[in-house]
Amino acid sequence: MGNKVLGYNIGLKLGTKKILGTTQDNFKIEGVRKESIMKADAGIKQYDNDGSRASFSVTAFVMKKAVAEADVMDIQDIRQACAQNSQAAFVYGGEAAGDYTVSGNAMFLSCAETSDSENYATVTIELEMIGDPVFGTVGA
Amino acid sequence: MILQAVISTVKKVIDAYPIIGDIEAVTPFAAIDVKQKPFFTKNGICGYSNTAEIIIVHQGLSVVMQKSEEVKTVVAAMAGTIDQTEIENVRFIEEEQSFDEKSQCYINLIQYQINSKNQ
Repeated sequence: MGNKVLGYNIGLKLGTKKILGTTQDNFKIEGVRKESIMKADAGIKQYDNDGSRASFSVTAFVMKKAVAEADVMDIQDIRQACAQNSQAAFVYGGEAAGDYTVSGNAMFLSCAETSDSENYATVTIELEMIGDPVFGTVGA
Repeated sequence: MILQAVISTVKKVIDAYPIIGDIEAVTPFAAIDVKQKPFFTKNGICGYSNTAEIIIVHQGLSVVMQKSEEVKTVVAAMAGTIDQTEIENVRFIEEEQSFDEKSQCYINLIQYQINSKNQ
């Protein structure tokens, strides 16, 4: 029987940086279908795969990094990246030997911040994969 | 620890004790309980949310309310490092007055949310 994976063991790295204060990563990947039908198909539609698309939605506390923290993106880095639709190489998955990963390039699409009168502010960041994903295993 | 930080702060204006079993003390006094919950991120804990309940007890309502105001002043001013706990911010939640028939004392229950960097 296989092993369940704990949520905190799956992370997203953009370039060499993680998003500071991340509490949740959502990753969605789907195949792009191409529909076709010929007379020979006798009225039954045929589907072919035409690549894939993937997106990320990351939820994090709004945080300001310490001066020494060069390996993280804080809220101001994220705002700038979204405003400029910056792209970065991503690695999504675990970090331990044998963990599965998905890698590729991603574009920052948007960030939406929530700040109320009682709680710490949070931000939701949307990214979209550009190009094709590479499926790997750490250490393989 | 945050409980010690709250107790030592409240003790500036009134005798204060942690709520552990029955308390036998000379009124007015404060009894304090703190519930702590960590803020988890994927990289670990980045702070703690502490809900502090401070109960002010005395036979006279006016004394209870006067001491409550003094307690609110010192708790709201909690900042920096107190008893090794680094305080980030303090937020008043609510207060509620009641009368305890058994002890014949008035009680004011004051609740705060205190966010701290460490335990």
